[in-house]
Amino acid sequence: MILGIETSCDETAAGIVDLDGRLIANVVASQADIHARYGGIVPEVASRQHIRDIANVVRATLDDAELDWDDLDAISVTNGPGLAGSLMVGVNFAKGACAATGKPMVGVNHLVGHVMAAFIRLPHDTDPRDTNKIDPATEADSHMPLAQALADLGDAPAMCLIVSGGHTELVLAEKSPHSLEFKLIGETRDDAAGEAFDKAARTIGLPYPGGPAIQKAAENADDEPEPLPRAWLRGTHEFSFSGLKTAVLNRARQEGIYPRKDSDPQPDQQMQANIAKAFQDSVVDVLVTKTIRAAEEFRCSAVILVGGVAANRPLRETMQAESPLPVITPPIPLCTDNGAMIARAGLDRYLSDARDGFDLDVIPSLRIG
Amino acid sequence: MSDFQLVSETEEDTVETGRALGEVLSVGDAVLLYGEMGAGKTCMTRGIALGAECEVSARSPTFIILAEYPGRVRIFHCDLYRIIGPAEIHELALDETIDQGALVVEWPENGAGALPEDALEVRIKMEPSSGVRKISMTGCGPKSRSLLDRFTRSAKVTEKR
Repeated sequence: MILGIETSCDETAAGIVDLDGRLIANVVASQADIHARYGGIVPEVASRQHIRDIANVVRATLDDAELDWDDLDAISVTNGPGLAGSLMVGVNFAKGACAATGKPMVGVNHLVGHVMAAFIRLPHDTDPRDTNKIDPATEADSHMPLAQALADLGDAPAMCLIVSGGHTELVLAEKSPHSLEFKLIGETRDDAAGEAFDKAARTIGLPYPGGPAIQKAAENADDEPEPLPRAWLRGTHEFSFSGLKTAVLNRARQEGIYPRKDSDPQPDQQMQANIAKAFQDSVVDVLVTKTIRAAEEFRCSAVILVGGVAANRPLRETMQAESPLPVITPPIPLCTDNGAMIARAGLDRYLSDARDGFDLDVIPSLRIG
Repeated sequence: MSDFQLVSETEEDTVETGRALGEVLSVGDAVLLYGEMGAGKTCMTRGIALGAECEVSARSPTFIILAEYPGRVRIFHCDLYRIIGPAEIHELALDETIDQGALVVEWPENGAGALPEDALEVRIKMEPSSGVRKISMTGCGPKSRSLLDRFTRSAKVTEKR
């Protein structure tokens, strides 16, 4: 059993996977049930929120799993990238737990964690991949060795799109004996895709977080709203969303909903919906087209779609529909930041005998590949 | 009132203005970037990091709030877009960063009262119709006035004027 601790940004999270990478427990502090169970509060400051919640989140995770500290094989923790003060809470908690229990500690790159979320095996009664194209979790014998999940990918590498509030990265994943090795192929030059969702939502008067708000509003849009531009950055595997952000701003200004005072009437919902859909179409089109192009260029066997923005339904559906390769994407609760993905990434490091000492440092600008 | 003004017609112009500023930046300098969403604050910071010979290219740190780019001068790139009030800013220990490098802050209006007083204020104003940006700079103390002086004397800026 591997415990994973995640405090790199806003979510205080912990999760447990077994040594076959099967999901045992997953608790995120923003979930209401934690607050109900332990009377937690949601403070404004991320690092303070982590300090207040971390012990209860880990306790709830062990309780959910019906496990004790003694049952754990190792404790893994995100040590970057992320906000320094937030990362420190998780890393220090993990050090304290390891000191008290004598369990080994492994540090995990948050971005590797996102990718490994796609390899978490789920209980057989749930739809494991939200896809009917490839399904290593249920197809694999439950006693099959861990490496089998990776073997299902074949020998060719996989192209990973890691897309979240803080990241938009294309990463080539190649198999190594116990896990995957990563090589950064391209990333955003300015805003992350999730950040663009948040800012576009704010501009057109939709609530935070922007991803779900834009997806919901877009469902009521006209079939073909006036499109917004796409930044292709041809000849590169890079992304840019700042131009799109400005285009949303200009459209909102033309429509007279930006800038908007609290005393102004609510913006017209149909117009909001149309801008939301045009924005979402642009982001999805660029992400999907460039990911598939990169996957073909690097002769990949699969596309792995992960990160908080991978929870966006049109992105998942369009990637599935357009990709000639199988698309592996975790179920939505494992796309957003969570502890199970850190446990799953920690499992690979644990099995390859990687260990970190009490000098493990936080690396706020840690990269992948 | 601003001490210095220039016009940026393209994104590249904004990056180049940033680069010229980055080239004359030293440890202890603070730059506050004002401007609405899409004005080009991150774009200018990308230029500043290039000018400061940072190896990692700057991108928006809205999500992680504070990013660090090692270079000739270490750049601390801070984005207060998500910050709620000055109390939260003390958590970031920005006063410690300024001893180790130069501080560049986006959305400084969210940190009023908790940011260095002697800072170069850069205001980027976008003309919605043409996309042209007016950039104005003000030094608010001896250190930042000296920075502005070095910036305006640099060859690239002289050409632009």
